[in-house]
Amino acid sequence: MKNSPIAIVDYGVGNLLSVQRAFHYLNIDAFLTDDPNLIKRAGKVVIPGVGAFPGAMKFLNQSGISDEVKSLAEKNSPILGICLGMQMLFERSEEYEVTEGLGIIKGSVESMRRSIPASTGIKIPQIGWHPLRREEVINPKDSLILKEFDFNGEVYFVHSYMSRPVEASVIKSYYSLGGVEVPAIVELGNTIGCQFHPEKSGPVGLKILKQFSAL
Amino acid sequence: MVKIGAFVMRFGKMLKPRLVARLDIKGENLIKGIQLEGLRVLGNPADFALTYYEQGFDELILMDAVASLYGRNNLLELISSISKNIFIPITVGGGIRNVDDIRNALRAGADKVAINTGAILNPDLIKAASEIFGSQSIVLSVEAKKSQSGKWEAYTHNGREPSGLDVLEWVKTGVELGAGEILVTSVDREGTRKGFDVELISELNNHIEVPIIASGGMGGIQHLLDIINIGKADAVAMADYIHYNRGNINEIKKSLAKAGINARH
Repeated sequence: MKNSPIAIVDYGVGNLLSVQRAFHYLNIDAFLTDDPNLIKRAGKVVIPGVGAFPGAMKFLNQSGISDEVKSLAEKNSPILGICLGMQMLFERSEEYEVTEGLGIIKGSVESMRRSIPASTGIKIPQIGWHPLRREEVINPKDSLILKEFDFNGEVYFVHSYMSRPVEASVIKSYYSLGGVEVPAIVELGNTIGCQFHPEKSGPVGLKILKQFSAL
Repeated sequence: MVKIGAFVMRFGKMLKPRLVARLDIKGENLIKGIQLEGLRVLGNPADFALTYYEQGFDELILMDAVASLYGRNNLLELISSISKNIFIPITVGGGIRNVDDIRNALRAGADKVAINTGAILNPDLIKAASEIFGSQSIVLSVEAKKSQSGKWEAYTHNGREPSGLDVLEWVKTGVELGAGEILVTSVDREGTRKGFDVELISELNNHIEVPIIASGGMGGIQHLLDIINIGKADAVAMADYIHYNRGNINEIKKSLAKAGINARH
């Protein structure tokens, strides 16, 4: 349902308010919850990017939210994973210890150091603003979330792990780092992953949230 | 003078340095001091924060300058209110002593916490916090003062109390424990307008591989160029330079562009 209130997963840990505040700033109704029933009722969920993979997945599993999110994915309901939230859409991650993810998108999450060694001079965690270049968007017409996007602007990344999707077609945009193409936006139907923080990328990022609310 | 050709060759696809507005706060006021002493009241922090966001700064750092007096961070209300209409990363510091303090700060709307005294008193806090909240949320804040030996000593309590710790060793420990970023304030240079401690940042870059935010000493654009090109700071925090309106972000970005350094649009 377009423009219905959006559920934001409340981990009880980290900065969750920014995502909600960003939606409110855009006059979009969004609420924090750890109740899978409320997520089901909302039919539209944002998984914010806080903490670390093992702890976050443990929370999702124990609260029943994992099952609900997987169920929403099967119904092709809109799901937006931000940063760690995007990583959890995948099958597994090696952050701290190998942990199973939601498995909605095939592929795994690995340390960025595997492909970008320290000898490149590039620091991890990668903290910084990067543009999503138009020519780096694999098929803009294909992307639900990048309509209306301002390709002259930059978005804010802060991460030490990156996703490695099995199917290249899910990658809608990447950014270049040390010669490596780091997935920035992945989409599988209405399941969307955003490696950067749209709620921390100024007006450019807010457009992503606006676009998500319209799905 | 900076030679543009040489720097483009040497740094190639250099990543964009982050330009950070630093606000030191006492109670309800934005303050500014010289060498972390002698304070002047400048006005409402929320107004300054919003202005800097709208002007195009990349991040904000909010430091509670009197937290050590009360033993806790008092900025929760401020963070809460400014995060309603400011959508860039916010780091908060001052008086962060335990996991609950961090939880509360992040819950109020901060993205990262900067920890100085709390980490020196209890280094395990960094380890515990990075495991719960993620390394990227934990910034090790260091106040560095050059000692007679030529090395730098870490200070606490706004540059007043020597800790006995060597900065380079301490920062290395902090990163091993899980700090995702280092905020380095030069006690010697802070508020002097004489330039950053380029040597310090450069040395730190030889010791650790996480991003470094340099703070303290900006008097003019050349200082900024030096700390980026020579010190290789990943981010630069400005306070005095912007609060007194002696420079603004647009001029700064133009000057960087002229020197071949790209900042965020």
